[in-house]
Amino acid sequence: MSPEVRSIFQIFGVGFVVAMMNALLRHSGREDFAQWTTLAGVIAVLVIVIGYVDHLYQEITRVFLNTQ
Amino acid sequence: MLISTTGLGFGMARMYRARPQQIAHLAQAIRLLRQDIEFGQIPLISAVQRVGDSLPSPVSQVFTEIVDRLSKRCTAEEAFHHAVRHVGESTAMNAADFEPLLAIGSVVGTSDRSHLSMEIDSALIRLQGREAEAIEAQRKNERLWQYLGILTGLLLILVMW
Repeated sequence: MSPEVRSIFQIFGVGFVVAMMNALLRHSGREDFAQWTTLAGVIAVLVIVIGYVDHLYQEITRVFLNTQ
Repeated sequence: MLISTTGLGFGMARMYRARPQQIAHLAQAIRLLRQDIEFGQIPLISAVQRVGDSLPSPVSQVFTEIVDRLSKRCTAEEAFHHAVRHVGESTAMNAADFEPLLAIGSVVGTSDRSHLSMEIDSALIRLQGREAEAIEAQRKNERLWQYLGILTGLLLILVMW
């Protein structure tokens, strides 16, 4: 499995698990914990994609600004 | 990792499941203690020993510890406080659940029978309230912790994959 495909599955998995945790916590009346869990999920996904975002910016800079 | 977080989640769920049972055992212990002290007229140390023997662990350990302290010449109040402080942590009950028992400990041996009887009645009523609250907490949290344990494990595995 290529790293890109693995990352897609990883992000899908994190989103799915965080959505389930969020629903569970809201159902039991812990809205504050649910919000923290969502935030943790967003940060986890950001950590996963930050390398790709960096690569994207470098590519955009290279293609359109010809700085490299 | 999945096994350890699932275990933690199930451990928390077990605590919520055990608390109402243990409060019921404590109420049963207080009723037995009343029978032995009021009607059997048995000395406190023997009455507490009998209560400890007839109850399942970990509530029985509290009474075993009280007997141990009473046999070391502590006052009843000191013995009850010591037992709750040292053994109470190993039970699923919290400090407020032991308050009725401590209230009995502070009057037993120092007041007359009618005062003790009133204190026991009050303790049993308070324990009923605590038990209802524990059942409600169990209903809300038992499943939640089981699922949260599994989901947290999955989340960690996914993030570290």
